[in-house]
Amino acid sequence: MADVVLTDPDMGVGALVVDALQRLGIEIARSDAPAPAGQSAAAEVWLERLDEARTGGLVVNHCRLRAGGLSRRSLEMAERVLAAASRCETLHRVVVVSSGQVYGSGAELPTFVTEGHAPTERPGASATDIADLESAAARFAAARPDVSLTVLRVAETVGTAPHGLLADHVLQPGGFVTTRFGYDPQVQFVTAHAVAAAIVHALTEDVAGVYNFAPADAMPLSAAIRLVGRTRVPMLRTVSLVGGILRRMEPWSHELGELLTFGRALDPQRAVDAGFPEPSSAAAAIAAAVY
Amino acid sequence: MSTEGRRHDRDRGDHLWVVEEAADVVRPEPRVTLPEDAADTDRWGRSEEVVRRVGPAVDFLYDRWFRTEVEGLDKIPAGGALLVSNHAGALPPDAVQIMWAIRRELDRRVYMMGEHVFGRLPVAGWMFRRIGGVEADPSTARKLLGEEGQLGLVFPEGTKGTGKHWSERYRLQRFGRGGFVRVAMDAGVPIVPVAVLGAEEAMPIFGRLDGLAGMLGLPYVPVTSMVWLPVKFRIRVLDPIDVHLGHSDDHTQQMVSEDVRAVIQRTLIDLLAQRRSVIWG
Repeated sequence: MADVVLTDPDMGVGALVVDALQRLGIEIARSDAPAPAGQSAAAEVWLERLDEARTGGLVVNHCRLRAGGLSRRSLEMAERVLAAASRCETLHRVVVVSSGQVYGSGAELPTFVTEGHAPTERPGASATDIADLESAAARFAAARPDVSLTVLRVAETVGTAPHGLLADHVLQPGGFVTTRFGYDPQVQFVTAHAVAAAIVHALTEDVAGVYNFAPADAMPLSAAIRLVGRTRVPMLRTVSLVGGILRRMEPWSHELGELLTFGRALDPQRAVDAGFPEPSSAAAAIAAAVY
Repeated sequence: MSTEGRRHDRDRGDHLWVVEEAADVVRPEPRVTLPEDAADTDRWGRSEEVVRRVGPAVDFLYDRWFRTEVEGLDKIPAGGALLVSNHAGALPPDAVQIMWAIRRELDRRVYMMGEHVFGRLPVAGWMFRRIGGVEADPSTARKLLGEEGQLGLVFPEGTKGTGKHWSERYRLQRFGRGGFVRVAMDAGVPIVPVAVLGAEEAMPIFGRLDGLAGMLGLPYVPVTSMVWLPVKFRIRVLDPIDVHLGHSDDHTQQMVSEDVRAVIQRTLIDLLAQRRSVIWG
Protein backbone atom coordinates (compact mmCIF):
# COMPACT_ATOMS: atom_id res chain seq x y z
CA MET A 1 0.00 0.00 0.00
CA ALA A 2 1.48 3.31 -1.03
CA ASP A 3 1.90 6.40 1.11
CA VAL A 4 3.19 8.75 -1.56
CA VAL A 5 2.67 8.91 -5.30
CA LEU A 6 5.48 10.46 -7.31
CA THR A 7 5.51 11.38 -10.99
CA ASP A 8 8.78 11.22 -12.94
CA PRO A 9 10.60 9.26 -10.23
CA ASP A 10 13.55 8.04 -12.28
CA MET A 11 15.78 11.02 -12.85
CA GLY A 12 17.46 13.75 -10.85
CA VAL A 13 15.19 15.18 -8.17
CA GLY A 14 12.64 12.38 -8.48
CA ALA A 15 15.21 9.66 -7.84
CA LEU A 16 16.53 11.50 -4.78
CA VAL A 17 13.03 11.93 -3.34
CA VAL A 18 12.31 8.22 -3.85
CA ASP A 19 15.54 7.34 -2.08
CA ALA A 20 14.84 9.70 0.82
CA LEU A 21 11.27 8.56 1.33
CA GLN A 22 12.28 4.91 1.18
CA ARG A 23 14.87 5.56 3.87
CA LEU A 24 12.07 7.05 5.96
CA GLY A 25 10.05 3.91 5.52
CA ILE A 26 7.45 5.72 3.44
CA GLU A 27 6.12 3.59 0.64
CA ILE A 28 6.34 5.04 -2.85
CA ALA A 29 4.10 4.47 -5.81
CA ARG A 30 5.12 5.51 -9.26
CA SER A 31 2.36 7.03 -11.31
CA ASP A 32 3.94 5.58 -14.42
CA ALA A 33 4.27 2.06 -13.08
CA PRO A 34 2.33 -0.65 -14.89
CA ALA A 35 -0.95 -1.27 -13.16
CA PRO A 36 -1.54 -4.79 -11.97
CA ALA A 37 -3.97 -7.30 -13.40
CA GLY A 38 -3.39 -6.12 -16.94
CA GLN A 39 -5.20 -2.81 -16.44
CA SER A 40 -4.26 0.39 -18.21
CA ALA A 41 -1.48 2.34 -16.54
CA ALA A 42 -3.45 5.56 -17.02
CA ALA A 43 -3.05 7.90 -14.08
CA GLU A 44 -6.76 7.89 -13.29
CA VAL A 45 -6.86 4.14 -12.93
CA TRP A 46 -3.71 4.16 -10.90
CA LEU A 47 -5.00 6.82 -8.56
CA GLU A 48 -8.31 5.04 -8.06
CA ARG A 49 -6.34 2.11 -6.85
CA LEU A 50 -4.23 4.37 -4.67
CA ASP A 51 -7.36 5.84 -3.14
CA GLU A 52 -8.25 2.35 -2.05
CA ALA A 53 -4.75 2.15 -0.63
CA ARG A 54 -5.25 5.36 1.37
CA THR A 55 -2.55 7.41 -0.35
CA GLY A 56 -1.46 10.34 1.80
CA GLY A 57 0.85 12.38 -0.39
CA LEU A 58 1.41 13.27 -4.02
CA VAL A 59 4.49 14.81 -5.58
CA VAL A 60 4.01 16.19 -9.06
CA ASN A 61 7.53 16.26 -10.33
CA HIS A 62 8.67 16.69 -13.89
CA CYS A 63 12.07 15.59 -14.94
CA ARG A 64 13.30 18.29 -17.31
CA LEU A 65 12.51 21.78 -18.50
CA ARG A 66 14.01 22.31 -21.94
CA ALA A 67 13.99 25.02 -24.58
CA GLY A 68 10.81 23.55 -26.00
CA GLY A 69 9.12 23.45 -22.59
CA LEU A 70 8.27 20.45 -20.47
CA SER A 71 8.20 17.10 -22.15
CA ARG A 72 4.66 16.40 -23.41
CA ARG A 73 4.53 13.26 -21.32
CA SER A 74 5.53 15.11 -18.13
CA LEU A 75 2.98 17.87 -18.54
CA GLU A 76 0.18 15.53 -19.58
CA MET A 77 0.93 13.19 -16.70
CA ALA A 78 1.03 16.08 -14.22
CA GLU A 79 -2.31 17.44 -15.40
CA ARG A 80 -4.02 14.06 -15.41
CA VAL A 81 -2.64 13.06 -12.03
CA LEU A 82 -3.76 16.35 -10.46
CA ALA A 83 -7.22 16.02 -11.97
CA ALA A 84 -7.52 12.46 -10.73
CA ALA A 85 -6.05 13.33 -7.35
CA SER A 86 -8.90 15.75 -6.70
CA ARG A 87 -11.09 12.65 -6.31
CA CYS A 88 -8.68 10.84 -3.98
CA GLU A 89 -10.26 11.28 -0.55
CA THR A 90 -7.35 10.10 1.55
CA LEU A 91 -4.94 12.67 0.12
CA HIS A 92 -3.53 15.16 2.65
CA ARG A 93 -0.51 16.71 0.98
CA VAL A 94 0.30 17.60 -2.60
CA VAL A 95 3.60 19.07 -3.73
CA VAL A 96 3.89 20.50 -7.25
CA VAL A 97 7.41 21.19 -8.47
CA SER A 98 7.17 24.29 -10.62
CA SER A 99 9.89 26.61 -11.89
CA GLY A 100 11.02 30.21 -11.59
CA GLN A 101 10.71 30.28 -15.37
CA VAL A 102 7.08 31.22 -14.76
CA TYR A 103 8.32 34.78 -14.09
CA GLY A 104 10.22 34.85 -17.38
CA SER A 105 13.23 37.12 -17.59
CA GLY A 106 13.64 40.79 -18.43
CA ALA A 107 15.00 44.16 -17.42
CA GLU A 108 11.74 44.94 -15.63
CA LEU A 109 12.19 42.14 -13.08
CA PRO A 110 13.60 43.12 -9.69
CA THR A 111 16.96 41.64 -8.70
CA PHE A 112 15.15 39.12 -6.50
CA VAL A 113 11.66 38.17 -7.65
CA THR A 114 9.09 37.49 -4.93
CA GLU A 115 6.14 35.12 -5.18
CA GLY A 116 3.76 38.08 -5.53
CA HIS A 117 5.27 39.01 -8.89
CA ALA A 118 2.95 38.27 -11.79
CA PRO A 119 3.95 35.60 -14.33
CA THR A 120 5.63 36.92 -17.43
CA GLU A 121 3.41 38.61 -20.00
CA ARG A 122 5.64 37.33 -22.81
CA PRO A 123 5.74 33.61 -22.08
CA GLY A 124 7.81 31.33 -24.24
CA ALA A 125 7.26 27.60 -24.52
CA SER A 126 8.70 26.85 -21.06
CA ALA A 127 6.86 29.60 -19.20
CA THR A 128 3.62 28.60 -20.94
CA ASP A 129 4.03 24.98 -19.85
CA ILE A 130 4.89 25.99 -16.30
CA ALA A 131 1.87 28.30 -16.22
CA ASP A 132 -0.30 25.39 -17.44
CA LEU A 133 1.13 23.20 -14.69
CA GLU A 134 0.34 25.84 -12.04
CA SER A 135 -3.14 26.28 -13.50
CA ALA A 136 -3.73 22.57 -13.01
CA ALA A 137 -2.51 22.97 -9.42
CA ALA A 138 -4.89 25.90 -8.91
CA ARG A 139 -7.81 23.82 -10.24
CA PHE A 140 -6.85 21.09 -7.81
CA ALA A 141 -6.70 23.61 -4.93
CA ALA A 142 -10.17 24.90 -5.81
CA ALA A 143 -11.57 21.38 -5.92
CA ARG A 144 -9.85 20.21 -2.76
CA PRO A 145 -9.42 23.06 -0.27
CA ASP A 146 -8.99 20.44 2.47
CA VAL A 147 -5.66 19.26 0.98
CA SER A 148 -2.43 21.09 1.76
CA LEU A 149 -1.00 22.12 -1.62
CA THR A 150 2.59 23.36 -1.90
CA VAL A 151 3.89 24.81 -5.17
CA LEU A 152 7.67 25.07 -5.30
CA ARG A 153 9.04 27.48 -7.90
CA VAL A 154 12.58 26.24 -8.05
CA ALA A 155 15.63 28.00 -9.44
CA GLU A 156 17.72 26.47 -12.22
CA THR A 157 18.46 23.00 -10.88
CA VAL A 158 21.75 21.22 -11.38
CA GLY A 159 22.70 17.65 -10.62
CA THR A 160 22.56 14.34 -12.37
CA ALA A 161 19.86 15.72 -14.65
CA PRO A 162 20.10 19.50 -15.16
CA HIS A 163 16.67 21.06 -14.97
CA GLY A 164 16.20 24.44 -16.53
CA LEU A 165 17.12 26.29 -19.68
CA LEU A 166 20.13 28.07 -18.24
CA ALA A 167 21.42 25.06 -16.29
CA ASP A 168 21.22 22.99 -19.47
CA HIS A 169 23.02 25.68 -21.44
CA VAL A 170 25.84 26.27 -18.96
CA LEU A 171 26.44 22.55 -18.44
CA GLN A 172 26.21 21.52 -22.09
CA PRO A 173 29.01 19.26 -23.27
CA GLY A 174 31.99 20.97 -24.85
CA GLY A 175 34.27 23.66 -23.59
CA PHE A 176 32.35 26.73 -24.76
CA VAL A 177 29.22 28.51 -23.62
CA THR A 178 27.68 31.24 -25.76
CA THR A 179 26.56 34.42 -23.99
CA ARG A 180 25.28 37.87 -24.97
CA PHE A 181 27.97 40.44 -25.63
CA GLY A 182 27.77 43.33 -23.16
CA TYR A 183 25.62 41.49 -20.59
CA ASP A 184 26.55 39.53 -17.50
CA PRO A 185 23.30 38.94 -15.60
CA GLN A 186 22.75 37.70 -12.05
CA VAL A 187 21.70 34.05 -11.96
CA GLN A 188 20.99 31.34 -9.38
CA PHE A 189 21.35 27.60 -9.19
CA VAL A 190 20.24 24.95 -6.70
CA THR A 191 21.26 21.34 -6.51
CA ALA A 192 18.82 18.50 -7.11
CA HIS A 193 19.62 17.38 -3.54
CA ALA A 194 18.39 20.69 -2.13
CA VAL A 195 15.18 20.52 -4.17
CA ALA A 196 14.61 16.94 -3.00
CA ALA A 197 15.04 18.07 0.62
CA ALA A 198 12.50 20.85 0.02
CA ILE A 199 10.01 18.32 -1.37
CA VAL A 200 10.49 16.07 1.66
CA HIS A 201 9.95 19.12 3.89
CA ALA A 202 6.76 20.05 2.05
CA LEU A 203 5.49 16.46 2.40
CA THR A 204 6.20 16.26 6.09
CA GLU A 205 5.25 19.75 7.28
CA ASP A 206 2.10 21.72 6.74
CA VAL A 207 3.45 24.43 4.46
CA ALA A 208 0.67 25.11 2.00
CA GLY A 209 1.28 27.92 -0.47
CA VAL A 210 3.55 29.05 -3.26
CA TYR A 211 7.25 29.27 -2.49
CA ASN A 212 10.32 30.31 -4.39
CA PHE A 213 13.05 27.79 -3.71
CA ALA A 214 16.49 29.20 -4.41
CA PRO A 215 19.69 30.22 -2.64
CA ALA A 216 19.72 33.52 -0.77
CA ASP A 217 22.36 34.90 -3.11
CA ALA A 218 22.88 35.25 -6.84
CA MET A 219 26.02 35.30 -8.95
CA PRO A 220 27.13 36.67 -12.32
CA LEU A 221 26.65 34.28 -15.21
CA SER A 222 30.32 34.75 -16.15
CA ALA A 223 31.42 33.47 -12.73
CA ALA A 224 29.17 30.41 -13.07
CA ILE A 225 30.65 29.57 -16.47
CA ARG A 226 34.15 30.00 -15.06
CA LEU A 227 33.36 27.71 -12.12
CA VAL A 228 32.29 24.86 -14.39
CA GLY A 229 35.47 25.21 -16.40
CA ARG A 230 33.88 26.46 -19.63
CA THR A 231 34.87 29.39 -21.80
CA ARG A 232 32.47 32.22 -22.57
CA VAL A 233 31.82 33.08 -26.19
CA PRO A 234 30.00 36.45 -26.20
CA MET A 235 27.75 37.01 -29.20
CA LEU A 236 26.27 40.32 -30.34
CA ARG A 237 22.61 40.87 -29.66
CA THR A 238 20.72 41.12 -32.92
CA VAL A 239 19.26 44.54 -33.66
CA SER A 240 15.76 45.12 -34.90
CA LEU A 241 16.66 45.99 -38.51
CA VAL A 242 18.10 42.59 -39.29
CA GLY A 243 16.87 40.85 -36.18
CA GLY A 244 14.18 38.85 -37.93
CA ILE A 245 16.74 37.03 -40.03
CA LEU A 246 19.59 36.90 -37.53
CA ARG A 247 17.46 35.75 -34.63
CA ARG A 248 16.73 32.57 -36.53
CA MET A 249 20.45 31.98 -36.69
CA GLU A 250 20.99 32.43 -32.95
CA PRO A 251 21.85 29.25 -31.12
CA TRP A 252 19.22 29.99 -28.45
CA SER A 253 15.52 29.97 -27.94
CA HIS A 254 13.88 33.33 -27.19
CA GLU A 255 13.58 32.39 -23.50
CA LEU A 256 17.20 31.34 -23.18
CA GLY A 257 18.27 34.53 -24.97
CA GLU A 258 16.36 36.57 -22.40
CA LEU A 259 17.97 34.61 -19.55
CA LEU A 260 21.44 35.16 -21.00
CA THR A 261 20.68 38.88 -21.28
CA PHE A 262 18.81 39.67 -18.09
CA GLY A 263 19.14 36.58 -15.89
CA ARG A 264 16.74 35.98 -13.03
CA ALA A 265 17.01 35.44 -9.30
CA LEU A 266 14.27 34.35 -6.91
CA ASP A 267 13.70 35.72 -3.44
CA PRO A 268 13.53 32.67 -1.15
CA GLN A 269 12.53 34.54 2.03
CA ARG A 270 9.05 33.04 2.27
CA ALA A 271 10.50 29.52 2.05
CA VAL A 272 13.11 30.36 4.68
CA ASP A 273 10.38 31.66 7.00
CA ALA A 274 8.43 28.43 6.45
CA GLY A 275 11.40 26.36 7.60
CA PHE A 276 12.43 24.90 4.25
CA PRO A 277 16.02 23.63 4.35
CA GLU A 278 18.22 26.43 3.03
CA PRO A 279 20.16 25.42 -0.05
CA SER A 280 23.85 26.12 -0.47
CA SER A 281 25.02 29.21 -2.32
CA ALA A 282 24.55 29.59 -6.07
CA ALA A 283 28.30 29.20 -6.57
CA ALA A 284 28.49 26.03 -4.47
CA ALA A 285 25.55 24.55 -6.37
CA ILE A 286 26.97 25.11 -9.85
CA ALA A 287 30.41 23.96 -8.72
CA ALA A 288 28.91 20.76 -7.30
CA ALA A 289 27.40 20.03 -10.71
CA VAL A 290 30.82 19.28 -12.18
CA TYR A 291 32.31 17.75 -9.06
CA MET B 1 19.80 13.14 14.57
CA SER B 2 17.23 10.54 13.72
CA THR B 3 16.27 10.24 10.15
CA GLU B 4 13.58 7.68 10.74
CA GLY B 5 10.15 8.65 9.55
CA ARG B 6 7.19 7.93 11.75
CA ARG B 7 3.66 7.73 10.55
CA HIS B 8 0.96 9.35 12.64
CA ASP B 9 -2.59 8.21 12.93
CA ARG B 10 -4.23 10.32 10.23
CA ASP B 11 -7.38 10.73 12.30
CA ARG B 12 -5.52 12.22 15.25
CA GLY B 13 -2.38 14.02 14.11
CA ASP B 14 -1.71 16.98 11.83
CA HIS B 15 1.36 15.35 10.37
CA LEU B 16 1.40 12.41 8.05
CA TRP B 17 5.04 11.71 8.64
CA VAL B 18 7.46 13.22 11.10
CA VAL B 19 10.96 14.09 9.95
CA GLU B 20 13.29 16.00 12.19
CA GLU B 21 15.32 17.57 9.40
CA ALA B 22 14.33 17.13 5.78
CA ALA B 23 17.83 17.91 4.54
CA ASP B 24 19.23 14.99 6.55
CA VAL B 25 17.18 12.32 4.84
CA VAL B 26 18.23 13.23 1.33
CA ARG B 27 21.55 11.82 0.21
CA PRO B 28 24.19 14.51 0.81
CA GLU B 29 25.28 16.59 -2.14
CA PRO B 30 28.95 16.69 -3.11
CA ARG B 31 30.94 19.09 -0.96
CA VAL B 32 33.09 21.38 -3.03
CA THR B 33 35.75 23.86 -2.08
CA LEU B 34 35.19 27.06 -3.98
CA PRO B 35 38.13 29.07 -5.28
CA GLU B 36 38.51 32.45 -3.58
CA ASP B 37 37.52 34.28 -6.74
CA ALA B 38 34.43 32.12 -7.29
CA ALA B 39 32.18 35.18 -7.36
CA ASP B 40 33.52 38.65 -6.71
CA THR B 41 30.11 40.29 -6.46
CA ASP B 42 27.64 40.66 -3.63
CA ARG B 43 24.10 39.36 -4.02
CA TRP B 44 23.05 42.57 -5.79
CA GLY B 45 25.80 42.27 -8.40
CA ARG B 46 28.07 44.98 -6.98
CA SER B 47 31.73 44.11 -7.42
CA GLU B 48 34.25 45.54 -4.98
CA GLU B 49 36.92 44.54 -7.47
CA VAL B 50 35.37 46.63 -10.25
CA VAL B 51 34.89 49.58 -7.85
CA ARG B 52 38.53 49.26 -6.83
CA ARG B 53 39.67 49.20 -10.47
CA VAL B 54 37.78 52.36 -11.41
CA GLY B 55 38.96 53.98 -8.15
CA PRO B 56 41.97 55.87 -9.55
CA ALA B 57 39.89 57.48 -12.31
CA VAL B 58 37.15 58.47 -9.86
CA ASP B 59 39.75 59.74 -7.40
CA PHE B 60 41.10 61.99 -10.14
CA LEU B 61 37.64 63.36 -10.95
CA TYR B 62 36.79 63.81 -7.26
CA ASP B 63 40.07 65.40 -6.12
CA ARG B 64 41.47 67.13 -9.20
CA TRP B 65 38.79 67.72 -11.81
CA PHE B 66 35.68 68.60 -9.79
CA ARG B 67 37.53 69.28 -6.47
CA THR B 68 34.46 68.05 -4.65
CA GLU B 69 33.67 69.47 -1.21
CA VAL B 70 31.10 67.74 0.96
CA GLU B 71 29.44 68.76 4.22
CA GLY B 72 26.92 67.16 6.55
CA LEU B 73 27.97 63.54 6.12
CA ASP B 74 27.48 63.09 9.86
CA LYS B 75 23.74 63.45 9.26
CA ILE B 76 23.61 60.12 7.45
CA PRO B 77 22.18 57.54 9.87
CA ALA B 78 24.18 54.47 10.80
CA GLY B 79 21.51 52.09 9.42
CA GLY B 80 19.64 52.04 6.17
CA ALA B 81 18.53 55.28 4.53
CA LEU B 82 17.35 56.57 1.20
CA LEU B 83 19.43 59.46 -0.11
CA VAL B 84 17.44 61.73 -2.43
CA SER B 85 19.29 64.22 -4.61
CA ASN B 86 18.89 66.64 -7.49
CA HIS B 87 20.16 65.45 -10.86
CA ALA B 88 21.57 67.39 -13.81
CA GLY B 89 24.01 67.33 -16.71
CA ALA B 90 23.77 65.57 -20.06
CA LEU B 91 25.95 62.78 -18.68
CA PRO B 92 25.45 63.40 -14.96
CA PRO B 93 28.50 62.91 -12.72
CA ASP B 94 26.59 63.67 -9.49
CA ALA B 95 25.81 60.06 -8.56
CA VAL B 96 29.43 58.99 -8.62
CA GLN B 97 30.50 62.09 -6.65
CA ILE B 98 27.97 61.35 -3.89
CA MET B 99 28.82 57.65 -3.82
CA TRP B 100 32.53 58.39 -3.72
CA ALA B 101 32.25 60.98 -0.94
CA ILE B 102 30.40 58.49 1.27
CA ARG B 103 32.76 55.65 0.39
CA ARG B 104 35.84 57.71 1.22
CA GLU B 105 34.58 59.53 4.30
CA LEU B 106 32.26 56.95 5.86
CA ASP B 107 33.58 53.75 4.28
CA ARG B 108 30.03 52.76 3.32
CA ARG B 109 28.53 51.45 0.13
CA VAL B 110 25.86 53.39 -1.70
CA TYR B 111 23.52 51.59 -4.08
CA MET B 112 22.16 53.78 -6.83
CA MET B 113 18.52 52.94 -7.41
CA GLY B 114 17.82 53.60 -11.07
CA GLU B 115 15.19 52.94 -13.66
CA HIS B 116 14.80 49.52 -15.22
CA VAL B 117 16.02 50.97 -18.51
CA PHE B 118 19.62 50.63 -17.28
CA GLY B 119 19.31 46.87 -17.33
CA ARG B 120 18.50 46.91 -21.04
CA LEU B 121 21.72 48.64 -22.04
CA PRO B 122 24.66 46.47 -23.07
CA VAL B 123 27.96 47.19 -21.28
CA ALA B 124 26.54 50.30 -19.51
CA GLY B 125 23.92 48.15 -17.76
CA TRP B 126 26.60 45.70 -16.71
CA MET B 127 28.82 48.52 -15.41
CA PHE B 128 25.88 50.15 -13.62
CA ARG B 129 25.26 46.99 -11.62
CA ARG B 130 28.90 46.30 -10.86
CA ILE B 131 29.44 49.72 -9.28
CA GLY B 132 26.34 49.39 -7.12
CA GLY B 133 23.34 50.06 -9.33
CA VAL B 134 20.05 48.34 -8.63
CA GLU B 135 16.54 48.87 -9.91
CA ALA B 136 14.27 51.21 -7.90
CA ASP B 137 11.80 48.52 -6.90
CA PRO B 138 9.91 48.37 -3.56
CA SER B 139 10.90 44.77 -2.86
CA THR B 140 14.55 45.55 -3.58
CA ALA B 141 14.41 48.60 -1.28
CA ARG B 142 12.86 46.58 1.54
CA LYS B 143 15.66 44.05 1.45
CA LEU B 144 18.57 46.34 0.66
CA LEU B 145 17.73 49.31 2.88
CA GLY B 146 15.35 47.85 5.45
CA GLU B 147 16.90 44.45 6.13
CA GLU B 148 20.54 44.93 5.17
CA GLY B 149 20.79 48.52 6.45
CA GLN B 150 22.46 49.81 3.28
CA LEU B 151 22.27 53.27 1.72
CA GLY B 152 20.26 53.80 -1.45
CA LEU B 153 20.49 56.82 -3.73
CA VAL B 154 17.66 58.02 -5.96
CA PHE B 155 17.17 60.94 -8.32
CA PRO B 156 13.42 61.51 -8.51
CA GLU B 157 13.79 64.01 -11.35
CA GLY B 158 15.10 61.19 -13.55
CA THR B 159 15.76 62.13 -17.17
CA LYS B 160 13.69 65.31 -16.71
CA GLY B 161 16.58 66.60 -14.62
CA THR B 162 19.45 65.42 -16.77
CA GLY B 163 17.76 66.43 -20.01
CA LYS B 164 16.86 70.00 -19.02
CA HIS B 165 18.10 72.97 -21.01
CA TRP B 166 20.88 75.22 -19.74
CA SER B 167 18.32 78.00 -19.27
CA GLU B 168 16.55 75.84 -16.64
CA ARG B 169 19.67 75.30 -14.54
CA TYR B 170 19.31 75.31 -10.74
CA ARG B 171 15.56 74.71 -11.14
CA LEU B 172 14.54 71.30 -9.87
CA GLN B 173 12.08 69.43 -12.06
CA ARG B 174 9.01 67.59 -10.79
CA PHE B 175 9.67 64.70 -8.43
CA GLY B 176 7.18 62.55 -10.32
CA ARG B 177 4.48 61.01 -8.16
CA GLY B 178 6.84 60.72 -5.22
CA GLY B 179 7.36 56.99 -5.54
CA PHE B 180 10.60 57.30 -3.60
CA VAL B 181 8.57 58.22 -0.49
CA ARG B 182 6.66 54.97 -0.77
CA VAL B 183 9.93 53.10 -1.23
CA ALA B 184 11.36 54.62 1.98
CA MET B 185 8.10 54.02 3.88
CA ASP B 186 7.96 50.39 2.77
CA ALA B 187 11.59 49.87 3.73
CA GLY B 188 11.07 51.70 7.05
CA VAL B 189 14.07 53.98 6.54
CA PRO B 190 14.47 57.77 6.66
CA ILE B 191 14.91 59.99 3.62
CA VAL B 192 18.12 62.00 3.57
CA PRO B 193 17.97 64.95 1.13
CA VAL B 194 21.23 65.76 -0.62
CA ALA B 195 21.85 68.97 -2.60
CA VAL B 196 24.55 68.97 -5.31
CA LEU B 197 25.89 72.08 -7.00
CA GLY B 198 28.10 71.67 -10.05
CA ALA B 199 26.37 69.02 -12.13
CA GLU B 200 24.32 71.76 -13.82
CA GLU B 201 27.45 73.18 -15.42
CA ALA B 202 29.59 70.04 -15.77
CA MET B 203 27.97 69.02 -19.06
CA PRO B 204 25.29 71.60 -19.90
CA ILE B 205 22.64 71.03 -22.54
CA PHE B 206 22.34 73.85 -25.08
CA GLY B 207 19.84 72.10 -27.30
CA ARG B 208 18.09 68.79 -27.89
CA LEU B 209 17.67 66.73 -31.03
CA ASP B 210 14.27 65.34 -30.17
CA GLY B 211 13.63 63.87 -33.62
CA LEU B 212 16.82 61.84 -33.48
CA ALA B 213 16.08 60.82 -29.89
CA GLY B 214 12.71 59.49 -31.01
CA MET B 215 14.30 57.51 -33.83
CA LEU B 216 16.90 56.02 -31.50
CA GLY B 217 14.44 55.37 -28.68
CA LEU B 218 16.48 57.50 -26.26
CA PRO B 219 15.06 59.95 -23.68
CA TYR B 220 17.05 62.78 -25.30
CA VAL B 221 19.98 63.47 -27.60
CA PRO B 222 21.77 66.56 -26.26
CA VAL B 223 23.79 69.29 -27.93
CA THR B 224 26.41 69.55 -25.24
CA SER B 225 30.05 70.04 -24.39
CA MET B 226 30.72 66.29 -24.92
CA VAL B 227 33.26 66.35 -22.05
CA TRP B 228 32.85 67.20 -18.39
CA LEU B 229 33.95 70.77 -17.72
CA PRO B 230 36.16 71.26 -14.63
CA VAL B 231 33.57 72.96 -12.46
CA LYS B 232 33.66 73.01 -8.66
CA PHE B 233 31.32 70.47 -6.99
CA ARG B 234 29.70 71.11 -3.63
CA ILE B 235 27.58 68.47 -1.89
CA ARG B 236 25.51 69.26 1.19
CA VAL B 237 23.79 66.47 3.14
CA LEU B 238 20.64 67.70 4.91
CA ASP B 239 18.75 66.56 7.99
CA PRO B 240 17.06 63.16 7.64
CA ILE B 241 13.28 63.09 7.30
CA ASP B 242 11.56 60.28 9.15
CA VAL B 243 8.83 58.88 6.93
CA HIS B 244 8.04 55.90 9.08
CA LEU B 245 4.69 57.51 9.83
CA GLY B 246 2.32 54.69 9.17
CA HIS B 247 0.52 56.87 6.61
CA SER B 248 1.00 55.53 3.16
CA ASP B 249 -1.80 57.21 1.23
CA ASP B 250 -1.02 59.02 -1.99
CA HIS B 251 -1.65 62.45 -0.47
CA THR B 252 0.93 61.95 2.31
CA GLN B 253 3.35 60.56 -0.23
CA GLN B 254 2.94 63.61 -2.45
CA MET B 255 3.26 66.03 0.49
CA VAL B 256 6.49 64.47 1.71
CA SER B 257 7.82 64.43 -1.84
CA GLU B 258 7.11 68.15 -2.24
CA ASP B 259 8.78 68.88 1.14
CA VAL B 260 11.93 67.02 0.08
CA ARG B 261 12.00 68.79 -3.28
CA ALA B 262 11.55 72.18 -1.61
CA VAL B 263 14.35 71.68 0.92
CA ILE B 264 16.80 70.57 -1.80
CA GLN B 265 15.77 73.54 -4.00
CA ARG B 266 16.31 76.01 -1.12
CA THR B 267 19.71 74.51 -0.34
CA LEU B 268 20.74 74.64 -3.99
CA ILE B 269 19.90 78.37 -4.09
CA ASP B 270 21.81 78.83 -0.84
CA LEU B 271 24.91 77.05 -2.24
CA LEU B 272 24.60 79.14 -5.38
CA ALA B 273 24.52 82.36 -3.36
CA GLN B 274 27.73 81.38 -1.58
CA ARG B 275 29.56 80.54 -4.80
CA ARG B 276 31.83 83.18 -6.33
CA SER B 277 33.11 81.27 -9.34
CA VAL B 278 31.76 78.29 -11.31
CA ILE B 279 35.31 76.98 -11.74
CA TRP B 280 36.91 77.88 -8.43
CA GLY B 281 33.93 77.68 -6.14
